[in-house]
Amino acid sequence: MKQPKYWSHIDNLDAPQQLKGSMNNEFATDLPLEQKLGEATEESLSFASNRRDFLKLFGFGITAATLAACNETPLKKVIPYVNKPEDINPGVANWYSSVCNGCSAGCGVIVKTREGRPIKIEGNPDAQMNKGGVCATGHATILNMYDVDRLQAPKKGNQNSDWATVDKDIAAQLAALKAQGKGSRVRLVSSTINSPSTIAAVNEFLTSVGGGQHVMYDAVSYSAISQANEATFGKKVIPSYHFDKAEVIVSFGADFLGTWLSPVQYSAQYVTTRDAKSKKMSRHFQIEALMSLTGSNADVRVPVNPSQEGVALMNLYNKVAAALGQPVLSGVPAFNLAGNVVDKIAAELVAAKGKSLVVAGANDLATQQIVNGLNAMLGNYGVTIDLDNPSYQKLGDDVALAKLVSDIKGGQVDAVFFYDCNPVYETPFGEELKAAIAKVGLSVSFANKEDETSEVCKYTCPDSSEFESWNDASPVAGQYLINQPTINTIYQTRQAQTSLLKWAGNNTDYMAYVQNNWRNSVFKAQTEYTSFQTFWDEAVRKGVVATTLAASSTGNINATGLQAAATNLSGKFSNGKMDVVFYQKISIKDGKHANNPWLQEMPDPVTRTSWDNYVTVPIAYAKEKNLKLNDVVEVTVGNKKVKLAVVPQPGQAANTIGIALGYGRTKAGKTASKIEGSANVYPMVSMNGTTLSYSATNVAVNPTGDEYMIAKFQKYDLLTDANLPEIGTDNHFDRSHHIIRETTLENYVKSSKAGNELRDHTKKELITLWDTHYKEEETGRMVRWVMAIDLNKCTGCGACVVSCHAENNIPVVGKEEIVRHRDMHWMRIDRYYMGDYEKPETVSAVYQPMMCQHCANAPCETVCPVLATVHSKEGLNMMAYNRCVGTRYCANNCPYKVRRFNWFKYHNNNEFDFNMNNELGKMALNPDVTVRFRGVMEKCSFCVQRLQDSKLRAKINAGSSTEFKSKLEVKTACQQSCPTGAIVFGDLNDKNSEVAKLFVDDRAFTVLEEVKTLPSVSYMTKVRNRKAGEGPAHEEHGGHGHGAEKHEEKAATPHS
Amino acid sequence: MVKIAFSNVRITISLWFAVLLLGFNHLYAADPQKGEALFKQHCTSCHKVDAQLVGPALKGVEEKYANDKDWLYKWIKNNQALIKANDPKAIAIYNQFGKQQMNVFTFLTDADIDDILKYVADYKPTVDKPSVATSEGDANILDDPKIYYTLLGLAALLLGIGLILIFGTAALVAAVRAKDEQRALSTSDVYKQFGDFLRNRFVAGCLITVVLVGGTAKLIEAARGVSLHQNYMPEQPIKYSHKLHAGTNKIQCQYCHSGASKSKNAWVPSTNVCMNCHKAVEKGPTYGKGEIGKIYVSAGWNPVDKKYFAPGTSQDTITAKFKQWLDDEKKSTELFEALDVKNKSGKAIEWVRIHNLPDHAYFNHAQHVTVGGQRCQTCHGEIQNMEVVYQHAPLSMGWCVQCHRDTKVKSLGQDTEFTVEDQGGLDCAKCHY
Repeated sequence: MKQPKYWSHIDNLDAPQQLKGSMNNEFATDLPLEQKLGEATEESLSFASNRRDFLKLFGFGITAATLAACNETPLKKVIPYVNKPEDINPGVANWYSSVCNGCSAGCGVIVKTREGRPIKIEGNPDAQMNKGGVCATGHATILNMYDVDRLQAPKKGNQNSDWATVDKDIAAQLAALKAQGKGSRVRLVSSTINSPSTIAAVNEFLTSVGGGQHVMYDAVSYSAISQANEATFGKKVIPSYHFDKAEVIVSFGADFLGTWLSPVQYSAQYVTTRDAKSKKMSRHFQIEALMSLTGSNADVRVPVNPSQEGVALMNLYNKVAAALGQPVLSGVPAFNLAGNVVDKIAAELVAAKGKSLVVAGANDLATQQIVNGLNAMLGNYGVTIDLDNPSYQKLGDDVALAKLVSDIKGGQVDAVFFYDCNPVYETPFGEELKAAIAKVGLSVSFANKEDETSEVCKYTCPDSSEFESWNDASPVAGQYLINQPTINTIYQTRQAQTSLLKWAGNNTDYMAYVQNNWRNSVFKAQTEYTSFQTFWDEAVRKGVVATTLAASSTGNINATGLQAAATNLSGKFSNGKMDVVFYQKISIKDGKHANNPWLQEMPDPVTRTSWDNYVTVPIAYAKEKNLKLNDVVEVTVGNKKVKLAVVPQPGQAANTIGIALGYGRTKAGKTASKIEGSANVYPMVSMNGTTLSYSATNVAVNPTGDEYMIAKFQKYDLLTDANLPEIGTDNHFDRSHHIIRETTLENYVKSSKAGNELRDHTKKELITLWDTHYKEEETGRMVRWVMAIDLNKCTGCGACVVSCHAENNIPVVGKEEIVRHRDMHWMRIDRYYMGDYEKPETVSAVYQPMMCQHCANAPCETVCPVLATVHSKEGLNMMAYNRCVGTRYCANNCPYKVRRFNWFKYHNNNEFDFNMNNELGKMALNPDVTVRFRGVMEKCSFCVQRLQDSKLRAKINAGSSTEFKSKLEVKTACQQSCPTGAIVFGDLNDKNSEVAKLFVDDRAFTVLEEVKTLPSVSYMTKVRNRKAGEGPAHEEHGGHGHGAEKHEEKAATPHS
Repeated sequence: MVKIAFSNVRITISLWFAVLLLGFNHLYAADPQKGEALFKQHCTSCHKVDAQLVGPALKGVEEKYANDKDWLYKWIKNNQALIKANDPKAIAIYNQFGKQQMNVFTFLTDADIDDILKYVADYKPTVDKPSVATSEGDANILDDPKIYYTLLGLAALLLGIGLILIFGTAALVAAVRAKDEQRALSTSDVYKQFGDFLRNRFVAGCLITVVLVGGTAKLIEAARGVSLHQNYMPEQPIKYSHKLHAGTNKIQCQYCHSGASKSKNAWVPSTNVCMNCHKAVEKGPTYGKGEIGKIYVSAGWNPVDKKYFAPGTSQDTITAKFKQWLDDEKKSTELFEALDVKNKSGKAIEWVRIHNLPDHAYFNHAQHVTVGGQRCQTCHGEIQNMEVVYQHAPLSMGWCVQCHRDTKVKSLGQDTEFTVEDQGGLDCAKCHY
């Protein structure tokens, strides 16, 4: 069977006929109405009625109408301030700079507040690290504050208490310990803290109790990197990586665009080397077991089983060493990857010596040592890797964690404090810790929501949310950020630092504490300001201060350890056994934010599933064992077992399964408790020497015969249709390249229209019956809003999806509705695979952000019977909710499937018990956007509220009407959040605007342009730096240019 | 000779120029009108001419410092610098007025200060006159109650004439029938004839059509009016008179509703804005202290000692002060009860919202006021004549749209040839998103 070039799901390929059958049904599933009505269905849905029914209904109708008419409009109050704060202007948003606390990467953010409540997070453009981008997790943190599951006051045991009691109790017990000389038996356990002031507070506290210890660990550990650097360079640090300076990037399982260390920072760096326009691009090799976000973006992706990864790396080392005349590692089993890629990578690394970067994701000391050796040999230290200005984003130490566990178990600890961590859940030692913590005399958790650890602690002293707190951060050397509060504490919470200082007998306000700390450190390290107050004010305003960096040295490697590491790694080489990899999903990551409905509902970019974790299995394995999507299997790792549903995953290495961490929370809140079919696999993580290992071998997978429904997105499109006449190609059945266009750098250098040859042809061929909305004399002086999306820059991270959620009051609909294909995302990121799914090494993916295309010839507009969706003079396809009567004709007629129907009232509805079902959660709503009601259609509006606001600001600020456009500064929510700047938005009528230039670029195409909807969204053809013979086998040279040329000949006939 | 004459002319002209240049300062006359504007802009929140407010009364200030004008300039421009420099005169004033710092006005020139002083010197207190309607343009004839009495009289007259005609006709019919020796018409005859008339198909058809068409029209009209609240005039917690403030006292709308120029909301002023004036104005012309007292209760102002209550002042003290303050008013007990000091002390004033747009309609004041240059009265009616504010316009979509169709866009104060509609002002997404 022929297969389309791009496909979104293996169903597309395996059962097109069946899928096509279901495409003919209007609804993807049966109407639940019938199920709900049960046996009464027949009777209730029948239209046969008699006179009495008519009279009953008539009478009811009249009465209801009368009663409704009698209803008086409720009295509305308008309550001004008594003393209006000078900087709060009702109706006008304020922005405050702060730090993102979604993970410990420490991106700088700006927080939008309205009437004194934070409602949206954006990246701080002044932050050098993230450069204005924030990831999905970061965007969603706003809901963590407005979470009804938050603790409202401190707890003593299971009882609610108050601060006075708790303070007295804890202080008394600490004093008693100190008096007994047991102060050193106090432990403060935390995840990574890179806030200098918090560290100071922690140290002050530990000193005051008589010398306790601070233990930092990370749920997903990077400890091996710092341990390896200690072994090879004597520096126990995680270095700063500079992907922007690398010409060849080789990643062994490091998902640096998705989850590894600091994904937003690395994404921003990475795309600077992926600009096709400059005709110079980095080469990116990804050698990995599972299909990660990074791997799917790579130029060359090679699947490898995790127990072979180390050997592949060493073979690469030896080949590079041989080429450079360096000593090779001995005793390494000879191994090569599909298509002898190791040789190719070695050659390219050597060619790009000093401008390459090798990273590895495995938290394995030996692997990381070899990587260090390889990088040092290639002279990458001081260029792409900086050991002297390290990253403080992950400071956890696995050895310290193991020691802590044994100390607690051995009764060596008399008081333990847990700050921003949940070891009972997120470490392999959960069960042991749970029992052991209960025996510790004083156990305090600072969790602001009850979690698995706080459950066994004697006291819970809820920390305030980061939006209610002062703090600072120094995520990488030379970068200092300030976290300022944007709202008063909502509940009786107190930030942990204040609690610690109070127990240490220091009653300083924490803001003053941070200020003092800065006065003595950061202020002294800079020279720009002489007055501390001016410096501080500017630092708080800007949110970030950069100090001078240390000179970056080349690594002086201690090569003695390398051979030992190699021997160690060679011993693990196994062939043919089933391995498991525990990975992090882009949305939920380590599971800290499991109670966040936006993140749960956000689909994983690669698998396009939400709400659960599952076992990803290679397609070949699934076929062999006859496993289908939703089949439940029991996975046995050592003596631990979990039951999870199966998701067959194209591109996954043979003999490998993948399971996401961060699921199976038992005590995280009501949203997390809705996830029934997921399981916690942290207990399966094992301690391997000095590090935690996130893979295991010799795994048993046994089908149970059960089924569990996984919520999968993107099954609505049929990419093949033999009946559709195709223009410009001889592949009549394949319309996928009208959606995605791609070429290689080689071809792009030859012709800037490479991969996009069809465009000229389509433009020439198509005629339209419609009159244009845009006549120069009418709309030329106005703005015409358009968007351009660069597929080269889009990594598919999904930050925009959550950003859109937050900006546009999009409801969370829950798993059941997603299963029924009723997701409400206005913006989605479609993932299209290419390649032969039976050969994992050929599979790669393209990501395409898809939202309302605001077509100039919009098919939805012509079918609306009530004119609820019409076109604006500024090029928007408008949606008037109050006019919509819910026929859904528009959604059916939309070729892009971007319209979303409100099947239910999602707010104030216990059936959808998420953030919009309680007063607190509703505080996160954007007051400028209507909350839609049941029965109306909705879709992307191009953030029209932002457009209107920006036009207004421009008009107010402009001195003259000609100046208006120059003052126009507008960013849609998706654009603003994008870490890579893939989305450009603006005015097409302004020929100097960036977007107008992109619209006439040779790479620009519109999706399904053959139907001449004339979308206002243009995509830039994806350019990969692939060489001949790489990538999917049938990606012939010249892409589809060949087909197009052929067709030109054919098309020429009728004209002549 | 000619040459000499020319040189004389030159010298004369040069001399005149010199005089003009040198004497410019002396020739410059202080402008009280400019002074008034400056005074109102910068001084009124703390000073009155003839009474003490936060700062002293300014009457006579020029004479007081006639010999020391340079010092006065310095003081007005930057009093804080003088205090810092330990100027004895400055310190004395600073201490005399409770160590309240005066704002600095370094941007004022000496000429500006002269203008202000001139205005102060020329100031004559205005006598409160009963307000006169200052409506601009044609007063709406229907607003005048007299017209309704006239109409009522006219209707009564017509009814009278009608009755006379009916009785006249009846008498004539009776007379004619009596002449023809027919029996007099009974009431049942009239009914029967009327019944026959109604049974006529044409007549019945006409009647039904009239009822149906009229009813439907009425229904549509009623339906369109659902949830429109034109003329809605709720009772407010304070009997605040826009007529007095905006009409008689001519306070600019945006002095209180300052959001109108920069926000989507026009803002109901916070209590501290009221206090800018009402620190001084304790008694209103109609309601005395009763209504203004409500502001004081909200603001936490001690009207007896003319300062704010310290935080944590006991309820008893506050109560006592307000009782004392109201002592000289008539019905002081009742007035005190109305203040509800116990519950409302320090709390915001809960006004009743008059202009309510539905949630799905977005309206932005700044767009209309700052950019479009619309007067407040365009939508809110002649507010300056309203004792109690009511909803002047229907605020229906049709009403909005009509204005967008008719109004020519003003672009930053300049007229253009485009209507709002031409600029996309009828697009749904301009107001609905």
